[in-house]
Order: sequence, then C-alpha cells, then structure tokens
Amino acid sequence: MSALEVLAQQLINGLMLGVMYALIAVGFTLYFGVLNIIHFAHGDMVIVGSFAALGLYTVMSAVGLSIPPLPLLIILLIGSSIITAVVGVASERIFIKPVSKAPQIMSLLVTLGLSITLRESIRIFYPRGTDPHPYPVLLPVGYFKLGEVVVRYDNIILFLFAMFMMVILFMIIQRTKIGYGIRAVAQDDEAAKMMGVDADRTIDITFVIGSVLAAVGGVMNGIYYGQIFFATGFMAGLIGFSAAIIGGLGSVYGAIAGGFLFGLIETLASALLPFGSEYRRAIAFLVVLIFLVFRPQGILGEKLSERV
Amino acid sequence: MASKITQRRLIFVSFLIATLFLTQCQAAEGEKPTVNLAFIGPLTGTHSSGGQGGYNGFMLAINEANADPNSKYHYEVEAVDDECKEDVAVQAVLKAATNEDIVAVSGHYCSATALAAADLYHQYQLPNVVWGAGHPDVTYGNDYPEMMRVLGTLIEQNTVNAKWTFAHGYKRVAALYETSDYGQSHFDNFSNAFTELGGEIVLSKGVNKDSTDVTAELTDIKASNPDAIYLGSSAPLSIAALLNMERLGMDDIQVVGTSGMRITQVPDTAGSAAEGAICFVDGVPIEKMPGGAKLLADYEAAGFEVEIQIPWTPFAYSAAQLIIEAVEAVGPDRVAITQYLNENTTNKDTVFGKVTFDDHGQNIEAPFTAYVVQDGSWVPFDDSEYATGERQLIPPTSE
Repeated sequence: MSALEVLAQQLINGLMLGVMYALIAVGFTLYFGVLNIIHFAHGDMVIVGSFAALGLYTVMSAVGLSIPPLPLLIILLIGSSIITAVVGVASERIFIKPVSKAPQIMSLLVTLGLSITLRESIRIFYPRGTDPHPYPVLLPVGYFKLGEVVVRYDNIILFLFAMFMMVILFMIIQRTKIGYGIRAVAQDDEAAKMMGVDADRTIDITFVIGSVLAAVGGVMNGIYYGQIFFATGFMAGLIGFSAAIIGGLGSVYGAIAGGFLFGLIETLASALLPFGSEYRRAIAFLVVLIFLVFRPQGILGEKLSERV
Repeated sequence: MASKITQRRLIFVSFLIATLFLTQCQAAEGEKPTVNLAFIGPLTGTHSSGGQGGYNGFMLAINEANADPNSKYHYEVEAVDDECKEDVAVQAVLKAATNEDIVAVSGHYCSATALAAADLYHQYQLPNVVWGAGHPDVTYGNDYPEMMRVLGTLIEQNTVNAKWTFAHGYKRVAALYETSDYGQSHFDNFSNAFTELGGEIVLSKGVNKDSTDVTAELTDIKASNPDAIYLGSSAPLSIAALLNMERLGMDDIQVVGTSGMRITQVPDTAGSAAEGAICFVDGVPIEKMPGGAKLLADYEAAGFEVEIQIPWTPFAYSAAQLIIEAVEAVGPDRVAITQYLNENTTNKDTVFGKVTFDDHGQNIEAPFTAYVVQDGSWVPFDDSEYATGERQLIPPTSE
C-alpha cells in the first residue's frame, strides 16, 4: 500500500469510528439540551439496544421464522427501538424525573447508578450474558477496492444510514411541533408550560428519541464490529459524552462534529504517532481536556452568560 | 391400668430416643473429616469458558477423591470468581486466604491476576497450584514456595511458536499484542525467539486489551506487508482482531497466536474470520494424554454446560490431583502441603502427563501443541486437514 492509500484507509476507519461515536454523542447532547442532565447511562442504553435486537433475532430464529435480511433488519430496528424506548422512558419516570429539580450532581449520580444497573441486568438476565456474542450478518458483505483501499458495502450503508438518522433528528427538532416543544422546554421549561407546552410529555418524547438513537446505534455497532459485549457501554458512553463536549453540549451539529473528531483523533494518533496505538485513547481525552480549558463551549456550542 | 399403659409408652419412647442417639453417634464416627479447598478463575466474563472448563476439571478430580473409599478426607471446594481482573483477583484470594479452613488453592487463568495476588499467597502461606496463567514471573518472578504451576511458561510456548512459524516459511511477521503483562510478555518472548532464528518483526502494535476497534493498527500492519500476523493476546482482543481483519479484507495474511486464543469463544464469536488461525498451547491433545480418554468420557458424562476446554480442564484436574495427594500425605496444613508439593513433585503422573517442579515450583516437563481453527473448532494441527494438505494455510506473502 502506498502512503496515500494507507491515509485513505485510515480516514475511512476514522470516519466509521466517528459515526459510531457521533450517534452516541447526539443522544447526550439531546438530553443535556432539553433536561440539562448528563445521562451517563446512555452508553449502556446503546448496549441494551444491541442486545434487544439480538434477543429478538434469536427468538425469531428459534421459532423458525425465515425472513430476508433487509426486512429482518427493519424489524429488528423497530423492535429494538420499542424495547429501548420503554426502558428509557421508564428509567426517566422512575429515576430521573424525581431528581430533575435537584442539584445536577444528583441526576449525575442517578444516571451512573442506572448505567451500572443496566449493565449488570444484561449480564445476569441475558443467556450467557457475560460472554461476547456474535452478531448476525444483516447487511451485504463484501467490498470493492480503490487501489489497495478497501471500501465495504456495509460501511457505506451504515454511514449513510447514520447520517440519515441525524438528518431525521434535525428535521424533528427544527420542523415539527414536537421539535418546537423540545426546544421551548430546553430554553425555559416554565415559560414553555405557560405557552401550553406539555413539559412532561415533551420530556418523555425526548427520552423516546434518545432511546431510539441508542437502539439504532447499538444495532449498527453490532453489525460493524460483528460482536457485542455487555461491558462496553460505559466506555462508549464516556467517549460519546466527551465527543459531545468537544462539539458543544446542547448542539446536535456539534455532537456530530465532536464524534467524528474523536474518532479521527484516535485513528490518526494510532497511525501517525510512535506508540500511538497504546495511547490513542489518552491522546483523544487529552484533546477533550484542552477543549474544556480553552474552549469549554466546544466547537459549535454557544457561550452562555448566567445572571447571578 | 392407665398407669401401666403410660409406663409402657414411656419405655417405648425412651428406647426410641436411645436408638436414634446411638445411630447418630455411629454415623459421626463413620464420616471423614472435611478439607476445604478453593478454585479461583474467571467464572464469568470473556474468559469464562476457560474458567468454567478449568473449574469443571477441578471438580471432577475432587468428586473422584470423595468417591474413593480409601481417601482419608472429604473435600469441599469454594469456587471464587476473579473475572480475569487484578482487583477482583486480589479480593478473591483474600477471601480464600483469610478463611483458615481453606488449606490449598488452584488459581488462576489470567496471568495478570496470578501476578497481582502472588504476594498474598505468600503472606498467608496458602499453597497455590496454578492451572492456567502462563506468565514466567508467576513462578520465576518471586521466591515464594507457595506459587507452583502445572503448565509451562510463555517463554517455552513462544519459542515453539517462533520455530513453527519460521519453519513454515513465515519470515516477516507483524505483531498486534495487548499491553497487559500477559500480552507484553508473549510479544517479547516471541520477538526474541523469532529474531534469533533469523526472522524479522516488521511492525509491532500494542493496544489496550479491551479494544474492539483495531482497524487503525491493522491497516498499518497490512501496509507493512507481513507474511503473518502474530496476535499476542487473550480471547477478547483476538476476537476483535480477527473480525477487524475480515472487515479490512486481510484474509490473505496468516494468523498465529497464543494459548489465550485456545478457548471455544474465539471461533464461536469470530466465526469464519477465525478459520485457519493457529495458536500454541501447553500440553498435548487430550487423546494423547495418559488419562485423556477417561477424563473426556467423565466430562461428557457429567453433562457440563461448557464443553471440555483443552488444555485448561486437564491442567486444573491435574492441579487437583497434586493437591489431593499432598493433603492425603500430610493432612490439612498449609505449610506442610506447600513443603510436600515442592519436595515430592518429581516425575509425577497426572492426567495430562508428567509433572516435575523445579526450585521455583515450575513444571519443567510441559510440552506444547499447535492448534488450528477448522470448521469452527480448535483442532490439533497435526490431526487437521491443514496438515494433510486437504486445506491450505495462507502462504507467506514473500514467497
């Protein structure tokens, strides 16, 4: 491979890693923007989504249902989204809503506890939950080459689908009545209530949207890596949160940019720096620290002043 | 009349109570004293098939001893999960070590856990016959008589691996290894042995053992045009590497790995990506072990959920054999058991072969075997279709 081909392949690797991170980051930014909470369990919700889809697939296979890959994928995405949304809304109503008016540290602790609960629940209740599980092949396998650069068909589909999901999210937030309500509650929930917005319902809808994103992210993660494991949610969530910070907490575009940037930093650090593969995560998190110190509002976030 | 009936009832009840009392006394006299042992390994998590396989092997030996009327003792085992994590392993060993009833242990599978807990075994004078961890420092990194091991070390394993790899024409090897003690030791020993033979390590990349995305590292490795890739890792990273290699179209580069890959989770999870991968493992195939046929039959008859794990099940079984022999000889005393094992384990027959402990409690009679993934299962290389020529390993790229 020539140096240019290696760079091109690494860019593809970084973009695919980045799109996985971006999907998680968008969820974090949604929760922070609307509810002003850092939902640390969001990474584990992604894993719940991936296991929900795998569980549905296993049940369907066990009863002998034979469905072509594309309709099967759609069924699994819908089923996983429903399951994850139920878990998400239930979590919000039982654990997060009661502490929503408390100091932010409380919601942080609650979501941390929720993260552990979700992770351990998968480990305990999913059959052989402690083992890594192979993921079904749901997209066309195979690739074409541009020189020595491998471009997989499923990579293209996953990338385009992730972008599509983000466009849909943007359209919902910007162009629908639900989106107006979400933005109104995010700006000022008291004023939104006075204008007739049902804040509780809006928050529920936010969690549904966030959970659907988590489910989609979980299924994509399983398809891309070929396996899922119950314990990967926490680190995925931490990276997603860091990516949201880089991009600007509260900005959907910022979360997307932050996700891609985090993925590219990790990949290029490994590729270009001596011992970069051993310290890629450390380097990426160092970038997060630099942003926190010098540009805490992130790439696309806005500086906010608070009247004291 | 009424008083006579009452008197008879009283005599009958007294007779009944006396009979019951005497029966219990006789039962107590016939019971053997109980000796408590512990088994420590990854019973949950990504290495659980190895841990469960080892535990099942250990328990088979224990059950045999308990069924033997000539045994002086009845053995009870406490299974403690170390999750292949250092911090959990320390807690697990503390739990066993501070329980004075536990007189001996067989632990661990992961080298990091054995290394982390080694000081505790010495501190509490608790003998440990290691059944799975292969890092040299487990026995050679200390002077603790309590630390003994039935399997060989990573040094010998990688010497055999390097010779095989070089002899099969793979002269330029790139390495992907985990940066844990285990992975680093594997890579260092393989690298030393391979370069001594005249081979070349064209590129090496160390990564966190929990990495699931190693596409960046594998892309650089692909660009270095190696004949083969050496995976210095246990199962989780090996699975991720194999799946990522498939994703990058690297199906034209042979994979050689370590004993950490030799569990069923690797081919089960990696699927077709694992086909043809080679690893090197302590011990010989079970069919060639002196007690292998019986062990296999007993294991299958027991109906364990996890299939037999070679070589971990026989190693743990052998560790139990040695411990039981020591307890039978010197009684349930930690110090005496340690001394007995160190002084008397010479040319001992175990289920997998001979065991001789050197002055560091290390078995110096450990053979090694190459395995290959064939149709989703690990098969001894010499018995595989790859050896007979029906299937082909991926040829070196420099040919």
